[in-house]
Amino acid sequence: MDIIQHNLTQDILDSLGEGLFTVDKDFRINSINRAAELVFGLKRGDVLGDFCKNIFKSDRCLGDCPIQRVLETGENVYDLEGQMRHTSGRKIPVRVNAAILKDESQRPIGGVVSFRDMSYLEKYREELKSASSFQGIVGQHKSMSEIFRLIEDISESDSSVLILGESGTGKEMIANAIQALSPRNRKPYVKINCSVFPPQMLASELFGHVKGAFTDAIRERVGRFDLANTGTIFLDEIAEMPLQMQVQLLRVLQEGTFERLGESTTRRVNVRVIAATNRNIGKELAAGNFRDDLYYRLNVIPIHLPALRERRSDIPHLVQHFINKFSLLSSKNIAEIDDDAMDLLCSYDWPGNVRELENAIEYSFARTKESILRASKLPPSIKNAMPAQSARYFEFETDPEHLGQDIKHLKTILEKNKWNRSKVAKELRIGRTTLWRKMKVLGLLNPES
Amino acid sequence: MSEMLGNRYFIARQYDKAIPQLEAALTEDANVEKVKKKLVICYVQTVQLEKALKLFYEIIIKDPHIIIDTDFYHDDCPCPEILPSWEQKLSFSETPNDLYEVLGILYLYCDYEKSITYLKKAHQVCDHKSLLASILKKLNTSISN
Repeated sequence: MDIIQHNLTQDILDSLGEGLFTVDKDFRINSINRAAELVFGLKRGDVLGDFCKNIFKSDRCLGDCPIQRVLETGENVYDLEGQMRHTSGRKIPVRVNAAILKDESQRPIGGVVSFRDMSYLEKYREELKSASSFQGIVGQHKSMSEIFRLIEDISESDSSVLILGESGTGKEMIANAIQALSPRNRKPYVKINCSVFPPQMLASELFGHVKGAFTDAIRERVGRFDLANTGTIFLDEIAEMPLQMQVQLLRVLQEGTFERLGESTTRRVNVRVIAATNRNIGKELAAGNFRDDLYYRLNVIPIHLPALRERRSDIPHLVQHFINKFSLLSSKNIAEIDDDAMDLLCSYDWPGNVRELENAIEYSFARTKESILRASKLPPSIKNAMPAQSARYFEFETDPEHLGQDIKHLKTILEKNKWNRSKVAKELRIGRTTLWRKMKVLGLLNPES
Repeated sequence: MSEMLGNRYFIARQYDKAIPQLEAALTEDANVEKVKKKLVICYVQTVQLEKALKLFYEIIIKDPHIIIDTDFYHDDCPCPEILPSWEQKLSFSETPNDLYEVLGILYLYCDYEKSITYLKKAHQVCDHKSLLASILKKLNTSISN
């Protein structure tokens, strides 16, 4: 390669955001790009010609080397997780891609390894483990603390669990936490959403089928219960399951047996069942849409997840959690939220619960260019919801008997501060927007405002 | 895949896996001395001493410096890691004939004097007297020159 060509290649490599190095067939480094130098604190001149294992000291160097894997299988490697070492000795989590370089005769003459620094993901994992969360679930409200205690109490149990809660309350995260703390946490964990399959397909998904069992059964299929054997299965949206299927599920729960579609051989499995629904299960039972016997089998350990509006004191913690999450994922340096935005978030009804809150923060992140999230950047559905939907947030508004006293109290403070809202907000330790909404609800906005 | 995969197994010290790959590389090009150097160590580590000595002899007759000039870091030579365990075996062995051969071969990668000492001992007690005599003669000539 001539000098111009070499410089061009190096420029191209240096322009990449991913770290990259190449080795010859002896596994000596023969090129490295700028991103790799930065991630590991290296200098190109110091590493060229040295063995890659001496430089990166990866946990895979003496075992499952990604280039070795490509040589053995003939398939390129993508997104292999591993750790490599910074020159300071610090371990850096990475995701690695690898491929082989060949000559004209298709003989390997070297390899190329590219990698992404996944340190930010580790930070996020640490964040999830922080004091305010339980297995990644943020919640300090009494109702959530009780659920966390219940999950810990049942950690040794193999009993079925039924999780009830509105959409977006985090039923799957609760199921994950139960599985993670159970003795089956290293065994298979299979999830299925019962609402997304038509009846015939759901039977096939859950129990499997043999070739020719139905028109499209062109090959044998292993069902989710087989896959989950010795482990756990999470049946989401269980109330959507057709009645006929409920009978089959009941049999698995009672006897641990089932047959694949089109097969007469009875199969036996040992699976712990966690089920969830956002439906009102009482109504479904009354309407005959859900079998009593299955309900009692599943409802051994019931967990009722509160809606977010029923645990508003968790909203600030959740907001901070999502700010931290999106800061790490988006590389935007946003660390806080202003009072007005927090007031709006705390007073909104959240029909979509935690999922809707997460989406709202993500939306605001996308729109924010400064270091603080402001109310103006919140989704219109939340900004426009006030004050009607937010009315219940204020204690005095839920108690009409005390309304007169509240009006009088707020008016006194307003007059004392000559209707200067900033001073009043400060005295009441609330945001100016909150004060404005209180004044509006109580009819205390003067005409000039 | 042979040579590169063989090199990889050698780096990972998976000598048994490296052997078929490096042998295949030699069938493609019999004059790759660095492959032969590695293969000698692989044979020793998998206790295939006949093969090790034969290949070692081939290299020495061609040029002893191929092995003598080995740099343990830059050539990723495993001898500093593996020699202590072989030497330890000496104190437990009542008939260390083969061990003399092994140590004579391995020490030539990092300590010429010790290698000669062990090769001479091997020459006194081993079955491969003529082969070892030729090796010692070649080494002697090569170094005196």
